[in-house]
Amino acid sequence: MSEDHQNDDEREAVVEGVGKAQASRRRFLQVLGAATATAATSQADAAPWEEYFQQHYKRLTDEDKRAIFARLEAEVQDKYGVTVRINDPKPIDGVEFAYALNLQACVGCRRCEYACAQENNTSRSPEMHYIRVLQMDKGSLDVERSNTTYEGAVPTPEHYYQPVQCHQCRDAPCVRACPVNATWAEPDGIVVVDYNWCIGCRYCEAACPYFARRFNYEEPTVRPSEINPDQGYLSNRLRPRGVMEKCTYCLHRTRKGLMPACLEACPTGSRKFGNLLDPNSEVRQVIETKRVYILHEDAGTNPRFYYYFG
Amino acid sequence: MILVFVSASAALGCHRAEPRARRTPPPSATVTIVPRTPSIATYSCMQRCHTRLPANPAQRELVDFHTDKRLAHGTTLTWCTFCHQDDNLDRLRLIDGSQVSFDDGHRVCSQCHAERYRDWTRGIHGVTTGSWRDVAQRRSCTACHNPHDPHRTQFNALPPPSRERGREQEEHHE
Repeated sequence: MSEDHQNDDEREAVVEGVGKAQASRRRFLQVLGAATATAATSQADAAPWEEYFQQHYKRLTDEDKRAIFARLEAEVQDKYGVTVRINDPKPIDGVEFAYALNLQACVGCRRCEYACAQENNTSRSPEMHYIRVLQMDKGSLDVERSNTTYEGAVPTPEHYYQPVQCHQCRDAPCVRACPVNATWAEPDGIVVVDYNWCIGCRYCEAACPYFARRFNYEEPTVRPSEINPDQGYLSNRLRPRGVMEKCTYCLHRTRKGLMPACLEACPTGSRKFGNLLDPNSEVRQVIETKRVYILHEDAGTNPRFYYYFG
Repeated sequence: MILVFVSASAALGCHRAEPRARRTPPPSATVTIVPRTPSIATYSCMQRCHTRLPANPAQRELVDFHTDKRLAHGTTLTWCTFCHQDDNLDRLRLIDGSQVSFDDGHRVCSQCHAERYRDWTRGIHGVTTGSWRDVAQRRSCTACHNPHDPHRTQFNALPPPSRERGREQEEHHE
């Protein structure tokens, strides 16, 4: 408690300044000063305060979560007129998710990108896609010379295609870079973001060797008719401005046993997803029997995403 | 401010590895193969057209029927009856003379494409959707490949996201 009283003046100044700039964004001040707590109870509308002083995901009780999910659902109802359901599926015991992608089969059609955007409620304007498909010169592994803005008929005879998304690294540099623990690896290997804890410093974006993290520079816009109502708290719920987001292997789907949206959309069957700990799963079969290639293996992040040939 | 960060980091186990999941995996998915016959527009051949019209096994130029079929599959597949059973057109034919359903068309393909077939049975090649844990649906070869003319065709990619285009301009600008 002594810590609480130590810098009250300074903390209040910070709260005030941040509140002016971006009231709903700076939630890292989880240690409440007595003065600010009193202010909170005197507010007629408690919702912004609840949001403002919301605890880190890992500290939330089930009851807290119920209240938060109800609040978020009501906010979406108010803003978009859409009834959504926010849930929080837990990691499954004995499951470690991994992805494998067949570089020989991918034709670079970008169906996965758009299916992902639709599933994960990512901003349509400015347009945000978690997946980036690199058009690579045949015979080259140089991603620096790849093209991400190709258009027209695919596949061309001179190129192959390498979609890149979050690799859910075992030693994730983004997790190490986060100064406030707003991002972490779940027991099933998925690196998640607590959007209500993120301060938007973008250190994780700079740390990621795969350029897989996305930042909401502007208020994300999704048409109400296009909102996916099945939302995970740690995955595809609607994000506010000023927070990071990323691919979560569609954890709101995959933790219920479904395949990720990008895999379902792929017309070529290039994408393979499954439980790395299950010796019969497709990803394990790929790793055990095919030539597997890890992008930026030299970065030492030990990803759970494998490219393979054939 | 530093104090705040320190207390937050200590409480949330900053940079400490997450506890590993327990090692017993749940059972693997049951794979079902999506039947092909409902997707073939003219099936069943024997009930629709070949009820009274027996197939003519003679190799010839097709002029009246099946003119849309261009046979360009390798150098050995030169005539219909290589894969189609001529006295029962609802069935496919294996090299040993036995008959299989169109739903088991992959067995016909496997006779030459053994490695691909092995990969397909393991889920490495081909489209498997549904669930990674419960029931998965796997497409047979001909769901994606035209067996008469299996060459890969081009189609249009969806446009790149505007953000990506902006990023490229930004990089050039810098």
